[in-house]
Amino acid sequence: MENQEVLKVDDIRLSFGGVHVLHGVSLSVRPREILAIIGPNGAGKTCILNCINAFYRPQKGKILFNGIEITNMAPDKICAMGVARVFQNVELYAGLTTLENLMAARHSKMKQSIVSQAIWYGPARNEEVRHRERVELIIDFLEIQGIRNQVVGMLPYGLRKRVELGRALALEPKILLLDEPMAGMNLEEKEDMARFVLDAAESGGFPVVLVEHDMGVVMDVADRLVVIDNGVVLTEGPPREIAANPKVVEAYMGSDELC
Amino acid sequence: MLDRPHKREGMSIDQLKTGIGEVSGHHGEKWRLKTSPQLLVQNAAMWRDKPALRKKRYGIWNTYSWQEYLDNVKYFSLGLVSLGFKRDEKLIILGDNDPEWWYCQLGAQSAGGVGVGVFIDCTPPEVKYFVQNSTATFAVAKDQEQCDKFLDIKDEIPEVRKVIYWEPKGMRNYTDPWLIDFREVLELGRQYEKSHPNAFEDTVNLGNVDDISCLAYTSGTTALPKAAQLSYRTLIAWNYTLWKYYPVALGQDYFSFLCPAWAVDQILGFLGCLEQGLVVNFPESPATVVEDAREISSVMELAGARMWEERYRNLFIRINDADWLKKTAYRAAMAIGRSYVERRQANELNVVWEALYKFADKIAFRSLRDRMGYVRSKVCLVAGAMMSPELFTFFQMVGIPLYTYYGITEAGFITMQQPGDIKRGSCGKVLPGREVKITGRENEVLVRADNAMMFSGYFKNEEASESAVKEGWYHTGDAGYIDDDGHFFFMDRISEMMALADGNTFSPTYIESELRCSQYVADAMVVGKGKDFVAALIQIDLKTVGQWAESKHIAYNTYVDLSQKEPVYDLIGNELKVINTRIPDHSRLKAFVNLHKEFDADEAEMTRTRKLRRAPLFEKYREIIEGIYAGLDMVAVKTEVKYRDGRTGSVQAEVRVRRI
Repeated sequence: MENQEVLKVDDIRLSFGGVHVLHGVSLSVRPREILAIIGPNGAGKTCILNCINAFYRPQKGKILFNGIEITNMAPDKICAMGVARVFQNVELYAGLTTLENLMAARHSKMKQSIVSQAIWYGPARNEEVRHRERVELIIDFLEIQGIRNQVVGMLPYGLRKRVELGRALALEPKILLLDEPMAGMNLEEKEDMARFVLDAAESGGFPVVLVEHDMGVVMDVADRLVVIDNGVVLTEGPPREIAANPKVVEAYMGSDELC
Repeated sequence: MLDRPHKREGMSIDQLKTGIGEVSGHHGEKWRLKTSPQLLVQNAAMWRDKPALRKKRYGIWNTYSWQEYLDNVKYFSLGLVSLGFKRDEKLIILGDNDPEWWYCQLGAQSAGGVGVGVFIDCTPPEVKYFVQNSTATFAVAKDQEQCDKFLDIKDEIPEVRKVIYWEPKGMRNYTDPWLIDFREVLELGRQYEKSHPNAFEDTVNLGNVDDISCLAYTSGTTALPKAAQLSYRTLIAWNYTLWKYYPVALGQDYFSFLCPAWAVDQILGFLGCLEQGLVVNFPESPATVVEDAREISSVMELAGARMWEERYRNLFIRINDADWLKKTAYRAAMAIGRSYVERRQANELNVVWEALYKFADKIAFRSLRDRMGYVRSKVCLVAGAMMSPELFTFFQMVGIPLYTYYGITEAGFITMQQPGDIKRGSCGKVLPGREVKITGRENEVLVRADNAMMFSGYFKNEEASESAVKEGWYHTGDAGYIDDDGHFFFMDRISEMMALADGNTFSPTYIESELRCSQYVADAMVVGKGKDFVAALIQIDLKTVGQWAESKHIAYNTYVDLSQKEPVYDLIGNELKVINTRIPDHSRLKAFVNLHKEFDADEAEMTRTRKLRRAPLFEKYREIIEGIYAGLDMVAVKTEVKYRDGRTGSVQAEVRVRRI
């Protein structure tokens, strides 16, 4: 059913010169589900996300978001439609504070002209207060009140990741793309992050696409898995099924460590 | 009878006993002691829309008036009653500093019940102990994390009828009818009022100042925590003791950040603020306490020595990171400040020194006070017992009104330093209405005070109550002495005093507090019982030592790695040499080890108030301690690590032993 899918990636092929990265990948994201994309390094997981964000243009195939084709749209338009992304390497304004980073994310939602914002009077002021309120709710949700006014560049890695999730949430996403949100974290930070993602998705009612290496996290969090290997979809299904699939175990781990 | 005087400065013991006082400046007018719900009702009637509480939410300070305060308490109380809460029942509360914590306790007290506060980082088995020991029938758990603890032990505590939470975040999928939202309880209360008008006022009026207001758990370094029963009269009496020397006034700000389960926040914050009409301010979250404290600048504070040690270390980090101009200003101010404080104690101040100190204050101390949030501070009390005199002098220099006292949960303040009469290392003179006797070979401190100032026995533990108080004297189990001027000096817990093989006794707690005085030492355990010399297990401060290592271009990755670096040993060794000069000859440190991990309350290495639990620590680090006395240079250790959720892991390391 067409309208049962928030995001549909239809047979996309991507190559850089002679290097073929994706050979016809299709997947779909259903409302409110947490879909995890797993696969070995270099399988093309991040490339799929980059195609959705239109950082890469697939040579073939199309991508539909809520039934609208976004394959050839500009990245900022896609973002404005509600496709939010948390990057693998932290991509924040390192010189700004947590609060400023989150407010910057609200920029695409601000309607006032640059002149009235500069004077900061009347509607512009009201608008900022309104946005600040949203941002404060996110700060409270992610429990980062303590670093509200700290410069992001000085924060430890785990917290920066949390700020980045906050920035994605500030966009009021209709779908959230997470690229290894838990890489480089310790166990406690991972658990916190998983809890925040689950809570946010549930209260926001949006689906999440998760690219993650930590199988423990994926098995706990995801509703459905898509396994990618060498630019093709190997298989997909609920975590339990996938974990029992010998083909996946072979491709992914080369051993039986998956369970 | 006047309900409330405009100004209450002091109250004599007789007045506290009879519960009726006279008002200065209002001839013949009298007022009487009240329970906390009665005080709240009265304050709300007098100050309706004036601020009573403030809580920072979403980065903004929200003010709640006395009327709102009362409404919340009233409907929560009625809600509890409609759920079946009866007089004398106990409400156990597990949460951070939030207005809701206070609403809950006052709500229970309004219904004739008793509040029982529990430390927020307790594990489920500990929670079970507190629930069963206090016979609580209702529980309040702040959020999902705390509710999970109760759900874990649900089957073992059938007597708890409902668990109330006030932070709904993450609670959407909890369908267990055992749990109920704070707001739902308020709503039940509103419904209940319709069918039972005046029910709240009636039960509040039934309250008596000699009723038990709360159970305060002693920290339990040696045994399981015992619950001291504290009456309203006792709590108020303790407050008046403090105000006699350090008056506070209506409308001033109090910052509530200590765990409310600790008796201190009950005394000063909870009843003190109701009695005197202070505004209570709550931090946004535990992570923002420092920033929020600075914005509020509490008029009074009572904190543990460890908190001051940590502040000192944080200050040290900032100063190290400052530019050369600030560093120079700081050093100059320190030099002046030290001489000034020494001269002040010896009464040798003159105009020049006053002027110099004013100068030092301008260039450094004032901004330090501001940075730490003490610009409006009138009194900061610290349990003198555990505070290094060196650190104490430092904060005096900075101009923070820091005073030491000696007190216990069972009898409140016993001695307190008074402005203008400060002796280095002393805990001040014995307060009026208290008597102190030093007895026995061990110099045990016995305390006698009027009933109005004593606790009302341990809850459900007659035996302990009887053995603690003999012929009116409470046996503190502490060692101390009183000098010729009447100043009281605390030595240590008697059970903690140790003797070397040659019979010389020493106080490990004292040496440890001196060790923690070094900015590089976060914590330490001193050993040497029955041995030839005293040695220390040091827990380095990751922040300051890390900063030092960076400045010296020493690469490290983990705590274990950093702690075992040769230069770090040199650094700590040099610190210890300085500290040794402040320690009596026979108990000087001869060897030390930098531990490979930090002490942790989750592993029962220390109590929740961060006091060391020696027996388990000794067992845990037996290999190291034996290694020190066997003359080894290197000891291989494997330590079990327990995480808060019950999982275990292990840390393996080789630790060096360094001799001094």
